[in-house]
Amino acid sequence: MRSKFAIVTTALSMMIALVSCSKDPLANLTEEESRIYITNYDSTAQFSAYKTFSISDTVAVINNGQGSKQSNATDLAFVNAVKQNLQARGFTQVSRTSNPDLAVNVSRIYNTSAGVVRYNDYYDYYGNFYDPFYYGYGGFGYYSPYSYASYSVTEGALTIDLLDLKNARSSNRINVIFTGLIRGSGIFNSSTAGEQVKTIFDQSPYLKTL
Amino acid sequence: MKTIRIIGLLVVFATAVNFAVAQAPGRVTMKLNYNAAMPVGSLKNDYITNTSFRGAFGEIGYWFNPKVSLGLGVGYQSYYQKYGRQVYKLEDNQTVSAVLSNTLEVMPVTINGTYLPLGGSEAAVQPYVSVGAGLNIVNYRQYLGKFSDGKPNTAFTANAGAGVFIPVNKSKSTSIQLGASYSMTPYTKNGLTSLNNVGVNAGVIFPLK
Repeated sequence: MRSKFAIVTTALSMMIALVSCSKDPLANLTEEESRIYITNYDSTAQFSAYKTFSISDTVAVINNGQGSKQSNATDLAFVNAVKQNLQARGFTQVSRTSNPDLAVNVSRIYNTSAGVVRYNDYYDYYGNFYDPFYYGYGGFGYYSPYSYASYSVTEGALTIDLLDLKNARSSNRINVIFTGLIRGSGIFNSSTAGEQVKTIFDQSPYLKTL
Repeated sequence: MKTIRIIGLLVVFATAVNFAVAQAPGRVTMKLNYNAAMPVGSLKNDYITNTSFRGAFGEIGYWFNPKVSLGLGVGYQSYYQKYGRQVYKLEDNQTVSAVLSNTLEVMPVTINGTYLPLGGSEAAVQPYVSVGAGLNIVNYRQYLGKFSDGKPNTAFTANAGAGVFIPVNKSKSTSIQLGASYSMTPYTKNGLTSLNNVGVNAGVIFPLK
């Protein structure tokens, strides 16, 4: 009887020990591994037709729909990394008053509500802080030819968007022709900003004017 | 193949040594086993190649005679595999770069029949074959970075196994169980066609009354 009890309890203990060590996928991810980079572009856009771009040193901060502009060290690191990557792809930075072909917007998005980001929704807020007048196209609206749903949101995201100013007058709107979205842990870190922006560009080889 | 050879040797050994019979008619027994499972087929090709060492099953069985039992079993198996960062093309022009973590938990609830060809004899090692069928509760969850997608659902499952019982006490009512099994679960969701696996198990069988 004692040996039976010992065998059964040993078997039970081993089973519980072996089964209970199930891996938690999230605990097995570093901050870098937790991040995802999603890019999308307007398939009708000819990127080689754009030569110049303008970018602000401030980023838009969208916090549950409330927008503001900010520029801290991390924001500047992202803006500078975007500049460098665009220049490496052959684009020339010009001032916003020099008729740039592209406007580049970098935004921080904080969304603590249910987990979907749709571009058409957040571009509705765009006019509040990136007034088309800023780029010399007062009265024009923003338009995104596509939208995408993202995953559940518990922290911030960063977006890098390219807007078509070159054809704004002929189309009577400012088309969004490229979007890069970074989500995950530890995004807003100046020491990894360059690496994160590089990942966005690395997976977007079409983004060039050379 | 190696497992089959070992089981074969045990069967030969069993016929050479005399012991008392393990299970009497009308007896109710419980099996508790640790189980390791190797994905095969679509599960291996499309989702996870890693062997799962996190699994177990238990069964309460009724013995109609020393050779045949019917039982209700519940199992658990957890699979996990992390793939390094890669770029994936999604629909339209969308591209995502992510570390992919594939996880799968299955909990089969099955009715199982077990047959001991030497049941009732005094063989020291009792070979067995088993078949079972039932419902598999499937928790498929795929992680892109820290963001996951997936939801539990159910699927039909069937299994077949073979192995040996090795009695360990004087009355021979309690045995160590060693075996191998093939589990088949058709599953046409999430790009998969099946959740089949080959398992090896070790545990005990003991009487409840």
